[in-house]
Amino acid sequence: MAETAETINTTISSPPPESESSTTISAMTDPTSQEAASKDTDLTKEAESEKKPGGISLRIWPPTQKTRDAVLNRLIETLSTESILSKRYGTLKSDDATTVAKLIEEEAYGVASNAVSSDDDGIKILELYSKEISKRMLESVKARSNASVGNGSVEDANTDASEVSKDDAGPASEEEKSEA
Amino acid sequence: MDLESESSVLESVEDNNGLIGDLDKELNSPVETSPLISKGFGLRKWKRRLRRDLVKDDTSVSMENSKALKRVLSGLVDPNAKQMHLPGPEVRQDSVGSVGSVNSVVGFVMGGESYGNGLAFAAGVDSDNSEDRSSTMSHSWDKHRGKVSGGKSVISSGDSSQQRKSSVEKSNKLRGERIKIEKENSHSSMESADSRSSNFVFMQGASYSLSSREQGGRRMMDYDDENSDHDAHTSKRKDNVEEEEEETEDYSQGDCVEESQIKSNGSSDNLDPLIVAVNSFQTLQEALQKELQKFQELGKEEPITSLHDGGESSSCIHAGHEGASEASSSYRFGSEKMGEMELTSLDSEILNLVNNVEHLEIKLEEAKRILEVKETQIRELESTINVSETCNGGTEIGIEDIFQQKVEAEIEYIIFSRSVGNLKRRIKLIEEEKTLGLSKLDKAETKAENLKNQAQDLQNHCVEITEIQEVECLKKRAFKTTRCLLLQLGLLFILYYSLLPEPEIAVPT
Repeated sequence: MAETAETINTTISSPPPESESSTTISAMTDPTSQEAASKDTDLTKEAESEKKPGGISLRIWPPTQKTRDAVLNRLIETLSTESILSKRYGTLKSDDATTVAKLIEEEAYGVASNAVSSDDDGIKILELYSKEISKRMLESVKARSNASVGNGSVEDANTDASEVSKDDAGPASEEEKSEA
Repeated sequence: MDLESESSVLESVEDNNGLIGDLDKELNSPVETSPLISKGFGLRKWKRRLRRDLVKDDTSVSMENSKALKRVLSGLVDPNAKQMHLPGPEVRQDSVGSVGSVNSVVGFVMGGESYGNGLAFAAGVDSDNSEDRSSTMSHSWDKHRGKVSGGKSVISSGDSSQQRKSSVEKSNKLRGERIKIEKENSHSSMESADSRSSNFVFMQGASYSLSSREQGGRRMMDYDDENSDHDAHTSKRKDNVEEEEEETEDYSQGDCVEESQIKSNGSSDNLDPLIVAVNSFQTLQEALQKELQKFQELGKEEPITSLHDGGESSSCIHAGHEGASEASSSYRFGSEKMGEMELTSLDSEILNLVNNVEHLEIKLEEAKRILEVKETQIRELESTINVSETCNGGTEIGIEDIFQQKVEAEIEYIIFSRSVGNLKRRIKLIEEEKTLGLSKLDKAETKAENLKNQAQDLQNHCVEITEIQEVECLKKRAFKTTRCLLLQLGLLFILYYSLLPEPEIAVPT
């Protein structure tokens, strides 16, 4: 405890370490891109914010923006790439996938943040967040598949055939059309 | 036989005592029939005369008589000893019972003829009652002598009695006969008062015989005392006690013997009529059995004939012939059998048909069961088909659940991995801060050391300062003390000069 107190006092009283850290940050920003700079700044801010209360906490929730962005990327991949559901219900375009993923993530984050739990680590809230995301993905995928069925006759023919090979060919053809 | 043996023993002991022997014979007679009694009376008279003659002549007989008297006296002494052990009221109760038994025995002994004779003599014997009373009083006096004196006195009394017997017999022959008659009358009078059952009579026979024997002893003593000069006067109470003792002895001794004889006689007499009755019943049973056998034979034979000759029996029935009741019953039995034969044939056919019908019904039931089984199998197959269909739906649902779980797991993985990365970065920063902190610590330590050195120097200076201050204080104190001393000296001189003029003044005085 004494050592920690000394460290705290030194950090508060002495200005030089701040300058040193700022220098390190400035040195790092030069070679990297703006994104990297923004990330570093976010990390530093987070560190400062967590240090101020006076202790290190291993809380998982609330997640950082970086983690949320990572989750979005993963959702986009699952929606756009082939998988069991994609084989069954079809895949989405990249733009649609991004929009849908953002909506899903925002809604789930809202629900999870509203939830209150006595757990300090935030693991339960994380579980709730993940469940909400999975439910909303299924709902969106089913809705998209029904809409696509209602829209075009060609898609109907593909779905009526109900063969694996044809289903695989369907989304590929759609992707090619979208690219063209 | 036991009674006969006892009577023979008594006769051998008391051959010359005619009175006692006669009494024994009288007792034996009641068992016999009535005509023998009349004969016995005649013979007894002749025997008495012969014995009296022998007593007069022989001297050896006197010794035997003395022995008999000793036995009698010894027997009399015993109840006195017994009386000490027994309580009063019980003895009295026993005496009452024995008296009743005597009365009953008298009734048994005295038949119709003897009873009439007794009544005839009763009228003329009233004058002799006083003699009986005197005899009882003398007898009690004699017992008293036996108790007080030893054996010698008993022997002397015996001798005196022998001398007196001859005189008594000569003078009082007739009186003895009268006394006997009086006793019989007394028994008959007692009989009228009491009524007992026949069994009780047989039971109590022994007591009478024994009591009569002892009474013989009394008579001998009485004859001696009547002529003697002694005058005995005793109270009635003693007499009553003596009588009770005698009665108890009689009752206890002879019951077993005569009871057995009486019972045997009764059983032998009673068996004969029973045997006759049993024989008669047996004959009746035999007759009844024969009749039953005849009826059984009739019952058995006739239905057999009816079976062999069905036509004849049926014709008889139709004719309406009715002989004895048995014959009619037999014909009816035959007719029933014929009817049964016909019915049995029809019944057999019906039974066969019924059995066939039952078999067919059973087959139908089996067929129904088979159909039901097949239907159940079909239903099972349908249910299995439905289940398989539901399984397909289940697979779809499973796929969706799996997808959800996959998505959840991916999201959690991402978040945890990101959080772990963040934590690692924080750890790095913290380590950097630690390094900085350590360097600062080193600097601080150096400063601290410098400060310590400075502090030590300051302490040294302080110490010096304190010493200086102390010295100054001491100087001030010394100065003050010196001033005080000087003042005191001054005052002392003043006092000294003030004191000097006083002695000058005093000198002139």
